[in-house]
Amino acid sequence: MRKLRKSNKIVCSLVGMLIVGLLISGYIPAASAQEKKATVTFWTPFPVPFYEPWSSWVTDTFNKLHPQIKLETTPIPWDRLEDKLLPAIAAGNPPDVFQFARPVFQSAAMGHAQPLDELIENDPLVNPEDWYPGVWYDVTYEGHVYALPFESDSLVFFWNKDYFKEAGLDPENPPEYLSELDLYAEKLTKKNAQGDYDVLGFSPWAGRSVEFMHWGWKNAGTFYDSKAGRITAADPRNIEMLEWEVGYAKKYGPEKMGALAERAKMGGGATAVGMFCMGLSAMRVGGSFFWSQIDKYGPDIDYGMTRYVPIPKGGKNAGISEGTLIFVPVGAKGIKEYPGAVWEFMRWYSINAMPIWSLQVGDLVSRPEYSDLWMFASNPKVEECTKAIELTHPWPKVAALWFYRDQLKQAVEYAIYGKKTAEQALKDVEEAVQREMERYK
Amino acid sequence: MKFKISKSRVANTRNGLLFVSPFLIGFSVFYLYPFIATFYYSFTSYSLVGASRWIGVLNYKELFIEDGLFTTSLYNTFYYAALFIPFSLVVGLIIALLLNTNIKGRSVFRAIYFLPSIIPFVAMGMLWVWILNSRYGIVNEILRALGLPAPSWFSDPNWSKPGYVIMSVWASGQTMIILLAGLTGVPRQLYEVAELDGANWLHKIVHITLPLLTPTILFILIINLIGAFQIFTQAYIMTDGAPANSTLFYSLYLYRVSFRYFKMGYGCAMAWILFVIVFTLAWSLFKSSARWVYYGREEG
Repeated sequence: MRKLRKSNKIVCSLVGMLIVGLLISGYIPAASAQEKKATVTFWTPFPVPFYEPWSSWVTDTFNKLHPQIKLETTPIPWDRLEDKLLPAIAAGNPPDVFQFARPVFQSAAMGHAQPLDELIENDPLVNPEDWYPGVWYDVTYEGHVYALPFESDSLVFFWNKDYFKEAGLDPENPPEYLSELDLYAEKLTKKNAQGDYDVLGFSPWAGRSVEFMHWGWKNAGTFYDSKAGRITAADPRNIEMLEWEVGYAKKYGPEKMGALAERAKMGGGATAVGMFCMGLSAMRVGGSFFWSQIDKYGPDIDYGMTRYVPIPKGGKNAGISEGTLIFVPVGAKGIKEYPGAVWEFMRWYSINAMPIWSLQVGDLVSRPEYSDLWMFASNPKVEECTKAIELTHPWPKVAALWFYRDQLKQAVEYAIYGKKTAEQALKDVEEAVQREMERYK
Repeated sequence: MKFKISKSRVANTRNGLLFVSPFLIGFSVFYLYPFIATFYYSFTSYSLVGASRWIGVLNYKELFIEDGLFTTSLYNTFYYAALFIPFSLVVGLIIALLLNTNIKGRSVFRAIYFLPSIIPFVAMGMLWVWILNSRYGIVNEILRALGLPAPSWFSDPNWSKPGYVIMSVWASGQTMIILLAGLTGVPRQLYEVAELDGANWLHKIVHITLPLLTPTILFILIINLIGAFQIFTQAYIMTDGAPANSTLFYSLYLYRVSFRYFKMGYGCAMAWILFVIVFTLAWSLFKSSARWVYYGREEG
């Protein structure tokens, strides 16, 4: 009994000391709690794993510049982004700001992103006309603005000058039309004794042109009739372009082309080091970010680049532009409790931090005002890519855009492997996407 | 007296339930509830955000009638299962029989054949992308050296699925180990008696080993059946359905529908169809087992 009491005493005094201690230590934060910092939570796909300093740089710099706000950045891998966001929204606890792929159509249509119209109207520093029109187009959906743009990219044609010289072609003159491209591709292709390719002249579905839409647009094809709300994938002009791709498959063999591409695959299918960087292909349609990869992984390759990707005779220039954007997820607490802090960060990230990111990794600035700055303008590669943004064709404003693009990729594969005719493949896409659209009504 | 017993019984029951409650709660929350909930959601249109909308059998109708990829993925999975299940059994059995003989360094060989099955799927996928590389892979190097045609495995829709089968058979050391365990349970006397009767090794395998192994074989068939229908990780890492959707397995498509397009209701319907398929197949295996599985009991 006595022992117990003794230990009780010890416990009591310990607890007492703890309470007093808590009170003393709690006094200081309690005093400053009146001007409690607004905490802005931010999820971004960017820093992992290649550019690790980015997330800490953003956090440190923003917090230094804005002592009254506390930014918390959480990096999330690209392909996990939506997996993380949707349950967070469903559970009522999403981040205050979320960085995601452009365009915003699907996020807006599915009710993941909040409209920002009021915030933009009330902020004299944020003017839609300060961004490239194509970029701003991508953050709007059905008359509302749902996001602020971040960086951009564009579509550029690359060619290997050494291979051009070897094949007796003028290394300063890339093909302008598809007919020339086909001819050059044939001349540049090298086969070995076993009949396998050592160098492939060109593959219409490699790299960034795995996206089919831009080939269709180049032939004046359309993919969506916004007035009728109809998907028009099987537009005869699109079919014509898919048949042109099938022509390559028939001539060069999709398996042999695939076998060559496999060589360039790093481990589990990542194509960071593309065929072009390894000297396995002579011409390639790539993203604007591609030159920095060539410089890094294929420093010996002497290449040229132009914003004029070959087009069919009578066709038009029509490239792809993507990038990322930031939006406020539905149900985010920050925008309700301290909208000023959230908006301050969004504006800073979209306008001030964006050019620094672009400079660091070779992406493009989304605002023309920066493109003339010496650090961008002095690099002819960046200049060419930036000009390519102006040749960009807008995406169809379809809620199921990713589904649509996935379907088109599959249609190209069906067609080149001879599983479906070009017409059938595109008709099937049309039907599937049309059906998918019903879900958004 | 009676009262006392039932009191302690009550206490025992209560304590027992308390002790198993971690499992009961975990099972109900993480298995039972989701299991029932997916059945409900399979009749709705649900995208995680916002409320679900009851649409009746529309998901099932779309799957069976309109969705071509559903049929494709089902075909791919059946194709894979139909090759993988018998092959892994036969290969596992042959290796187990060989490893059951009295050879030097037997345990080393056992370890070697078992090793592939403990490699994580992701690492295995990375490895096999290289082993089956059309131009520089070791498999094709050997085929070429033998003067055989070297297929473009994962670049050819006709060879991509066999590629997966080869990889999975390589990694089915589990099958081999279970069969080995089964083999050690076969009484030696039976072989001795057979030898006295003049039976050769083939007779012994066919008339003694195989019949006594049938319970083990049934177990393996069921485990591999379930495993084959769930093939996902390798396909997701290695080909993601390409080329031309020839490796779009059922689970991969289910994942794509649910987590790329966020058609959760549709995904739930797919999951239930998969459940029914696997359940039916496993059940018919069990049913048939009465005819071919020997449990060592005398009949009649």
